Amino acid sequence: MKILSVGPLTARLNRKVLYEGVFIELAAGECVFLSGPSGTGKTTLLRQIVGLHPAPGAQRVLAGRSYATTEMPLFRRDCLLLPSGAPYVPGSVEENLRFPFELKLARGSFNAEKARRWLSELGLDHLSFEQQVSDLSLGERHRLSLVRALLWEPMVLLADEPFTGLDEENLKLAWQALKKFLGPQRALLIVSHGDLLGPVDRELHLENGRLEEKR
Amino acid sequence: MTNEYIVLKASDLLLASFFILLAGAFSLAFHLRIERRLFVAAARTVIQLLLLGLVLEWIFSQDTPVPVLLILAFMIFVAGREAVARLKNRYPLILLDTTLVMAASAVIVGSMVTQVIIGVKPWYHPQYVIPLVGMILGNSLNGVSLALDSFLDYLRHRREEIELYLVFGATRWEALRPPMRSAIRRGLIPIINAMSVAGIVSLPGIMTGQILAGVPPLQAVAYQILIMFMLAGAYTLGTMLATFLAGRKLLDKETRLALEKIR
Repeated sequence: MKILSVGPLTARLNRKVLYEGVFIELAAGECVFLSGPSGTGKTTLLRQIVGLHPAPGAQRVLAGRSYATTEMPLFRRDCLLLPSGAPYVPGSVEENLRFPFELKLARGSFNAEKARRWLSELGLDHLSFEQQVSDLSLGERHRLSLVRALLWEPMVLLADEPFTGLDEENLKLAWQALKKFLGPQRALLIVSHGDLLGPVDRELHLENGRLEEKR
Repeated sequence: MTNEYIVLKASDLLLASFFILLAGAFSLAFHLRIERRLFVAAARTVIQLLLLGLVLEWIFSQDTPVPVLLILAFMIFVAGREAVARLKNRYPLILLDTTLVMAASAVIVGSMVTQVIIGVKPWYHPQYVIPLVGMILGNSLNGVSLALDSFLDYLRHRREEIELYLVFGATRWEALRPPMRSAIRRGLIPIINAMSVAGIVSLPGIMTGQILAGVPPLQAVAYQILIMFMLAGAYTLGTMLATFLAGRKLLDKETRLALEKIR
């Protein structure tokens, strides 16, 4: 059963076509890896899915419901983009984990205990809630972003280069945590220019403007 | 105590121009090369203020609201332009927005002060309406300009933060709350400073003017307090409305941060 279907997506960079008429479809419960060299438009593709980059004419269907472009906040709530570079809001670890739950469309409320559990899963036991995120290392910030995304419990998670700056051990932890997130009513799309780090259900490759399924 | 003021004659101003000549002489003596700009600026002061005086004298002698409304419209238009004149970043039709903000400041704060608080009769009494609305516009444009500068700068340089709110399903105004907050704070700094030091560090201009014109000090104080509060209102309304209008354009109907519009 399809859980997410978005397309057609076309992107240009300085009039040069990056890709054209691409459809992204994810089945319920699956983990998909999207690879491709830098500069092929992987990030743009993810941003188009959630409408941060204009995608004129694209249809978005999530869990059987189609979303108009005026409903993007609702769509984004359930189809979460984990942006590359681990951006954060100024403030403490807790503020960074909590702020999404204070939005009008938030489904649940912030659960400190659950937050602690995910932090521990990702090897961030040593962090205190009061610590300023600006003081964390890049690797810690990446894992904190991941904790925030997992805590949110979206239906679909689109992770853009989630493993940047992680050493081998933490990489393993991050991979395990993502796998734990998966469930029958969930789907995961991991985007990276690097190598595949574990078993996935499907592999896609974006290069020279074409999205191809790898066998 | 008299309620009179000492009339200034043309010969008095001629004497005052001694200061300009002195400054010019210094400039020549020390090769500062600002004598030209100094004299041009001094001449502009004389010509512009003289023209303003003539226009005001004529308007004050008229008994209809039309010239008052015309000059207010002109002032609003100029203030709208000035508010964007020194901005680093702009977006399409920003001039329309700032002019709208200036008009709103002038109409809302201006009518509150002149009609409700002071209660001028007739309602367009130019002696009150023109200087008061002039002050409202001059200050509001200052606040608007600072707020927009901060707002557009924030959007450009802290895009990731705003988009971080958006990816979790923030609505337009939820995502724009931090940049709006910082922009409005920035825009209100001048009036908060002015109110904080009023009477201690600076003797506010209108009070100085009224005291020179023979108004009793406490009455001048009353006017000054009214003016300060009025300007606080103008600053607040101006900065909030300006960032609101800019936010509506730059975070579009699809709840997307349209940075490509900022140039």
